[in-house]
Amino acid sequence: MEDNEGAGLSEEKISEVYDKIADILILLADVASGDFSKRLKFDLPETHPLAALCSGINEMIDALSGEQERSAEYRRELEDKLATIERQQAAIRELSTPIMEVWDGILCLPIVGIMDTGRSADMTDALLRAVVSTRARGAIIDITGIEVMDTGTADHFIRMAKAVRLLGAECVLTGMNPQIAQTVVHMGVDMEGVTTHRSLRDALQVMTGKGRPSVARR
Amino acid sequence: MASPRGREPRSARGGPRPGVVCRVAHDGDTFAVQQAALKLAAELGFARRCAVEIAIVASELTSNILKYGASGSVALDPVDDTRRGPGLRITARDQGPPFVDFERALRDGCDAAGRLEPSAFAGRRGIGSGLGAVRRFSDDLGWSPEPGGKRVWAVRYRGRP
Repeated sequence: MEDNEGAGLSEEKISEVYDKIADILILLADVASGDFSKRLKFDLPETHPLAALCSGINEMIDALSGEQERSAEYRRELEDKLATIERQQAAIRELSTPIMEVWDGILCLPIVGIMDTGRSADMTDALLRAVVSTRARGAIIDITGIEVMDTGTADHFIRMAKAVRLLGAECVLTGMNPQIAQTVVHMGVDMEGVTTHRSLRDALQVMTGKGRPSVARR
Repeated sequence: MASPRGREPRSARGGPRPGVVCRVAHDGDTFAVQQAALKLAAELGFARRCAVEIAIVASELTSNILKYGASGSVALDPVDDTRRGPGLRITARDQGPPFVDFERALRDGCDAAGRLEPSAFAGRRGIGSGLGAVRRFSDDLGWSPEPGGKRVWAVRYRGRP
């Protein structure tokens, strides 16, 4: 190659190389700030080492911008999914506290699944509000849908019943199946103070005063 | 009867069912742990009532991680003891402080640090009976300190002695 004589490079050649390097640095600064739209322009012969460098840099920017687009796409998808999960969680929270007035002045809150601290706080809050707003005289918490009753869950129910009673309404637990009854006793949790009835029907009969009192009543 | 420092059985070897490890960091993880415990217990041939009791043990240990250790994991795996036969082991790991008095923590109305004042119940979650329930529903349990935390394990055998 003609320029390969080291110290023998002409002033003109050296300033050409400097200019090219300046172009490259400016372009790299653009890339670093996130602008992938520009490419290096060069009119050097293919065999020129600077030509190889320039085309190499252009290829690298092509690859980077493709990658950048893909990752932006992934980020958008991920954000969409997270937003969906958040909406669904809000919906689940909303749906998990279906309080209905099953009789004049009697509310029912069926519980399905699991009671964790967040859910129990939401439920207690919703139930207490409903008791006040409907001027209910009684609330029935139906736990037919509870599969596993641990000490934490039992504790949540005891607290809920206490809070309702503080508002001057009666609060009973229904739908306790024999298996849960057995595990609660075996677990060593004292549910004393929480009135229980075998079924929603029994509880309604007792609370509306239209039937025999349930034997399960404490 | 469970002893606080029980003899830990070895893992079942060559079984078709590998154990399950659940990460515990959020309130909602309790549900995942319960479901995993119910499923594995059913697969190992436990009766429904026993499976529920195992789920309660797993659930109590999970709540304790969230209450005291902030985050950790619960592992469920089949074990096989030469004397007592097949069973299921629940191992809870957390980054919480070690037990001051394990025997005492197992008693109702106590926590890892000692006796709970009745007035303290109002301001905290639970009634201090979680480990009591764990003791009643498992055949053997124990704990050991680990670097940066501790490990609590409980075993329930299929043929409960």
